[in-house]
Amino acid sequence: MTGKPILEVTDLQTQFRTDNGIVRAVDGVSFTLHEREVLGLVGESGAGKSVAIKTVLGLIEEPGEIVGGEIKYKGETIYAVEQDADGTPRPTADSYTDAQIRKEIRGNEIAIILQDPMESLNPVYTIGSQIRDVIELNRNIRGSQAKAEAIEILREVGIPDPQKNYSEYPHEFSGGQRQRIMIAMALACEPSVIIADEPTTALDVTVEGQILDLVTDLRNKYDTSFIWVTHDMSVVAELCDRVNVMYLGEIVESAPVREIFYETKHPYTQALLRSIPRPDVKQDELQSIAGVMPSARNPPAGCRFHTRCPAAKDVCQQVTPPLEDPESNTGSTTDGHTVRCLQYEPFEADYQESTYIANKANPDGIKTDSQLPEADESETIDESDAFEKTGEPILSLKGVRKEFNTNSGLLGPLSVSFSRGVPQFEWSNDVVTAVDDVSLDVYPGETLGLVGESGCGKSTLAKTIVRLIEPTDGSVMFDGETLSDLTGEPLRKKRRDIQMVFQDPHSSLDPRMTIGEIIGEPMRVNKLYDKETRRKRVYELLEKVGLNKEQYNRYPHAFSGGQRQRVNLARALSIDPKVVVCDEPVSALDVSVQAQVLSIMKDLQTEFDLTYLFISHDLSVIRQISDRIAVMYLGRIVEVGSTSDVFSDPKHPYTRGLLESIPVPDPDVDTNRENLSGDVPSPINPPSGCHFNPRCTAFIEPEEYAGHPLWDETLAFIRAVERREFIADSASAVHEMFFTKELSNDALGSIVSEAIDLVVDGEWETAYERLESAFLAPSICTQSVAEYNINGDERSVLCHRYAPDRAGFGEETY
Amino acid sequence: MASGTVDETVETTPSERHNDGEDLEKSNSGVRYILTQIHKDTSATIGLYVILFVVAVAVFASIDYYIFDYAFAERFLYHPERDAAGGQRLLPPVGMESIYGPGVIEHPLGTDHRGRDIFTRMIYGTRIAITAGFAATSIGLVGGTVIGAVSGYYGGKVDDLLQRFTEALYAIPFLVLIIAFMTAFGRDVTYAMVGVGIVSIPVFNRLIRSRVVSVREKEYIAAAKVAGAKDYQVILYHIIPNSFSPVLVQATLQIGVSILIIAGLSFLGFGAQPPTPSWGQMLAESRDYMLPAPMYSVWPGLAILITVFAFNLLGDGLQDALDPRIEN
Amino acid sequence: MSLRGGFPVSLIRYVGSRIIQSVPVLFIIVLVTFLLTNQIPGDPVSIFLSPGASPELIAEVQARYGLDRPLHERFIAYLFGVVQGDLGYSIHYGMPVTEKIIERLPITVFLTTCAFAFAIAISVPLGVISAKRRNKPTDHISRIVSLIGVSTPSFWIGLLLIIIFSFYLGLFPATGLVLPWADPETVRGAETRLDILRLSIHHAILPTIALGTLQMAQITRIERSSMVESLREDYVLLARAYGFPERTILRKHAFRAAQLPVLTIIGLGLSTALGGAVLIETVFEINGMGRLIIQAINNQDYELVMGTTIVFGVTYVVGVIVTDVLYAYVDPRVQYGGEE
Repeated sequence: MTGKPILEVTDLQTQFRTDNGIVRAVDGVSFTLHEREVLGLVGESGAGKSVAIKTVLGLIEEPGEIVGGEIKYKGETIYAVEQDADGTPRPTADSYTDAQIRKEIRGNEIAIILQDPMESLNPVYTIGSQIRDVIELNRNIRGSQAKAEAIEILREVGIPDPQKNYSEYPHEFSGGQRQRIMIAMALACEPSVIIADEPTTALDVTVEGQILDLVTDLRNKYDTSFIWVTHDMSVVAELCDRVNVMYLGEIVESAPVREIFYETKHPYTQALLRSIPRPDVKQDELQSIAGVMPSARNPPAGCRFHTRCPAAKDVCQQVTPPLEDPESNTGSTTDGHTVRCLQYEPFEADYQESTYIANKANPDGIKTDSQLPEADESETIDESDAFEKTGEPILSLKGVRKEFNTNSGLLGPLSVSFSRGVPQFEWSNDVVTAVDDVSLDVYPGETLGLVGESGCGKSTLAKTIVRLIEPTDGSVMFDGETLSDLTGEPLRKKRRDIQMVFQDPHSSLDPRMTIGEIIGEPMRVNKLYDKETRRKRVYELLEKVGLNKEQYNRYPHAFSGGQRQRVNLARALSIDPKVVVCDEPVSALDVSVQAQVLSIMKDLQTEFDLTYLFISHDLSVIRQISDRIAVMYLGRIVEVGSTSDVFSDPKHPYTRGLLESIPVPDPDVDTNRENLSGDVPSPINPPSGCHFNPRCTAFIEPEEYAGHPLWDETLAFIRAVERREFIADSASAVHEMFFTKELSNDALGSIVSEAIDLVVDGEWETAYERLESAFLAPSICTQSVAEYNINGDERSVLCHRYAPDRAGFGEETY
Repeated sequence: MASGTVDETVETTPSERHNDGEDLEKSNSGVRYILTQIHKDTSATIGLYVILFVVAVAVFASIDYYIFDYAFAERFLYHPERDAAGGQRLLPPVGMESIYGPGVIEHPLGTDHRGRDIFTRMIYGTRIAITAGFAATSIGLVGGTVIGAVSGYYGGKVDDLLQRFTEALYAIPFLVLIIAFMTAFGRDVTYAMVGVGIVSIPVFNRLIRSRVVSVREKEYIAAAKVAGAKDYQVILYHIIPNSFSPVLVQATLQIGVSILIIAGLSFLGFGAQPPTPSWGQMLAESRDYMLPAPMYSVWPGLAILITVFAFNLLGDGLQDALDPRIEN
Repeated sequence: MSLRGGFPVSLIRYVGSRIIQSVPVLFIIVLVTFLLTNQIPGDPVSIFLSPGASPELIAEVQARYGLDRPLHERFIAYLFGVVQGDLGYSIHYGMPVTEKIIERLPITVFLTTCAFAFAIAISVPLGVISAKRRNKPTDHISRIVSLIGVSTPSFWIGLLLIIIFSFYLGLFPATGLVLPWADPETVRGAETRLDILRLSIHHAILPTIALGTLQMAQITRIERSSMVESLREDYVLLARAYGFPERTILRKHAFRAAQLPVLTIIGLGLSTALGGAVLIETVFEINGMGRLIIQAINNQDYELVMGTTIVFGVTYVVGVIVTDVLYAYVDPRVQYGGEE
């Protein structure tokens, strides 16, 4: 490892007393964090990761208690638990007191970053004052000096205008920026260790990528060690040096990151890795883990994974395996490669063969027959690239547009301002265009994947299709009829053919209805069949989605997330629809359960002859299930094509950036995120022309600079000025930073050097305005929206680069 | 309610359960479920029993009044023939002495300024309090539910108009509004009930509306609509059952509030007119004798306090039992 | 806590839009009051004139008071008057309603303000302590006390206070109220400003407690639950994780955001308190707006009833705007909508 041990945790045990018994959330967890190391703590929800790190910081509250273990920081025991005479656990005498831990450890030695930056920043204080308070508390700096320090750190984490942003409130920042602020707060204490609890889970994938890059930079700069808690193997692959895999309160495997991926030992880790859909290759199989994680209240005896383990033997039910290194037998639990399994070796042959090994051998992801693992067929997703569009589209959107008013109500749009004490009235109504002129065809039998970041309008589009909301403009054709023209009974009849599967397993089932009532509801409200037939059909559907008929009379609260999504599917299928719109159906599920639901969906598609419109923000999932893909950005569809085409050759700059930014669950794959920076702009006031233009690296120069050799460098400079990404000491330094050659002696050169001078003088805004009006405003990209251009038969791309009259100006130059 | 009682004995094997505390979620409706929850809460149970007792007293008083013409009151509570004091004014409670003489056992709480037994009058006061409390709350509940459900479900202009109107209704301090209302229509207790009912419409409206607005956004509502359910089916099968529990809590608390307002109105002379006894009116009459007969002012207030307190205890208990946060 | 310097433009805009929004509410108040008062049985003219008055005289008086015109015309005329501050003429007192109200309104506003000051001063610390020691004895006691507080009729508390503190202990006067800014020459037994202040406090204590108890109990309950909620927030967890002492977390991190529901409940409680003022002024024989409306009703003084009702409504609306502005001041998110 890179350095000496800094944080050593031994046999940590934390439990919660509840009405229904004791929950051992963390049960004997040990790990060691070394200097300059990023230690991953991975597991599905309920594995006890968060509780483990809260225990380390002593943040466990009633009814939780620490009942065992020892925590050493820099060689010194800060907390250890012993049992007193009557068996109640209490801290040993040499443990730090609460006040000591608070003053000496928290913040200044170990800082933390939490998952949801909106919840963890205090909404009623400015971000600057929050960081300043933390600095004043944990370092010997006060007042204006602390403020200066806070501003400096905000700049460090990429907050564009820290001087001004210092006195702004959390709600004025985007999710990604807020997480940067959280990181700034952690760094502000100059800690040796930063614990990050799922810090990127709530963020969009492009923003997540930016945060991961930032952390990688900072870690090299500050020599900070990290404990990175996550459920996402891709993040682990990208960031971590060493990984601990947790299952039901225990660490089941601990190894350096490459060994976790390439020499996986524990069946759980293996299964977990196999169930992850990959964005970079099309997988021939996606294997899921059977069942769900048991309750921590009542963990299985013996090996806790035995209830779901395909390799479990009788002995696994009785003997609790230790966490040890099978090769060295030293019993060390914190170095090397340890695993908690009775039969780590030898595994059955097919089990050893991880798809990752296969991928490594064959980096292009082209599979040969011999590499296809012979796993059981029923749990695999059958992929066939060879989907042929046949006949007329079953569902066809033509110029669909949906606008929302931001101010509603009688006097909502009326606003008043005072100018010299005289009230000025203003009648203004901001319109958000959630879906902007979308045309899309869906063919019978296919799965069309609709992908986009949050807020891009994909859910609005789904709701418009099923007529949950009325489009402002445009039409939805279904099976030869225009849905938007139908009303009353004909509409209700037609609507049966388009059903929907919803995202949130908690809110999509009425908690006061039984599962049977829920699945039977569509038949009931449509007055289909008699009562007995309905009941029989519900039984059939239950079996089809992998539930059983005994569950007919249960209430949703007795079901897990994955089971609820199955009920959701069954409900949608109960009235034999032709098209099912799936709005993020697996996003709320753990990765192993995700695979189960996806594979059921695939089976049902064949069986019921369904057409899916599958909406997701997760490109990996989309890749595994879709025949064709549509990419959405700020209300518009920017690219449509077959899955293999789009992934192998993305055309739209946004699609390219998006594909690049996804972390891949493979430590050997480097993620390059140069092409997508910045945040998604607000849909209230989207950028003019092509909505993507402010983030685009393929931005087209204005006519007068066509083909200018310095254009690319100029564009990079403009973006950097806009985001104030650099420190401008002198004109020559700035020049050197962005330009490889001397500035040319033309209009472009003179404007740029003028801007450089302005920047050096600190006039960022003026500099940007100057550059913007000279280079961005006259460009076609800010002036108009491109047409949908068809490249070949199947591809359409909403980008000026691919305009037909720009032949030859397409891919080569970019 | 759609689901009726909840099957408390749902068996779940550990492997079916998704961990992380989701199983806290309860399908909590149904009278039996609510009663079980209340029984776990001592203070709510006490509240429930006190309410049952006060209601029983009110029923007893009503039967006595309507059917037996005070026969029971005179025989068991207040004995005109056996009354040694013989209608003496302002006697103190038994065991106390005042300038009007010592308290007597026939009038355990003393007599009022006209020599009537305070205890008996308090028993009869329950009638007004309980009837008015329930009646006023029912008016508010029905009115508020209808307005709140309609405006929450449909939203838009209808919503805005209804909300502005109820807001304005709330803008006149409600005691003043009821007084103005009763001045216009009549000073009787019936108008007091209607008045209190009307001013509690905004309370229920606000509650129902916010609840409906949040339930409306649930995906199961969208699912029902996609399946082709009509508006009335959505409201009947999904919205109402899922909005019910906070209303139940508020109704319980509101009965207490109504009793307080009615007592206040009676105190000001708006409400039950003499000789019909009501607690507020007894307090108003006692004001002139606070110095010589202070206990006269204590008893009716105590009756109000205990009754309202019981409703608040029960309401609080229900709130905990039906906490929507536990549900999610 | 860092107070933001000055009132930002957006806050002024927010206040402006809040005032604009309450115009329809004020209109409905006037309308409802007008319609209700017109329902009052008994012709005011017949009260004003002796029973044997000639029809000509009746017609003349009716014309003078505009009673011969149709309802909507009278309403429009009245509305114009209200907008200009003319609330009509009090037959009983023989003076304009507006003048009478200007004389009485400060007393009620003073009493209500005292009640809220008392309520907030006690309830906020109590609620915070209760939340901090959740489910400990302190918490249980404070919960029961506040539950009793919301269950007790305010006028009864007034009666008990008079019996105990005025009659038995003789500590405070049982009736009347003196405004702290009253002119010493008009008040009996007072010679200097200091006397006035002393008298004012002396008189105000009992009615303040009687009127404020309900608010105190109400706010304590909300303060407690809101603090409990706030203490569970992630930002509190984060503050702990950064090593802030519990005291700072309670006073700063958790406190401010937790005051938002409290402000809301204070706004709503204004309605209860202004209504309660009617009762308390009756109990303590204080000549404020509450007693005025009861007297006006008993004297069948029509326009005075209308005027007092409307002014009660306006007072409430103004109070709500004040709490809304405070809310916006505490919660920066509220004004956000107002900014470009």
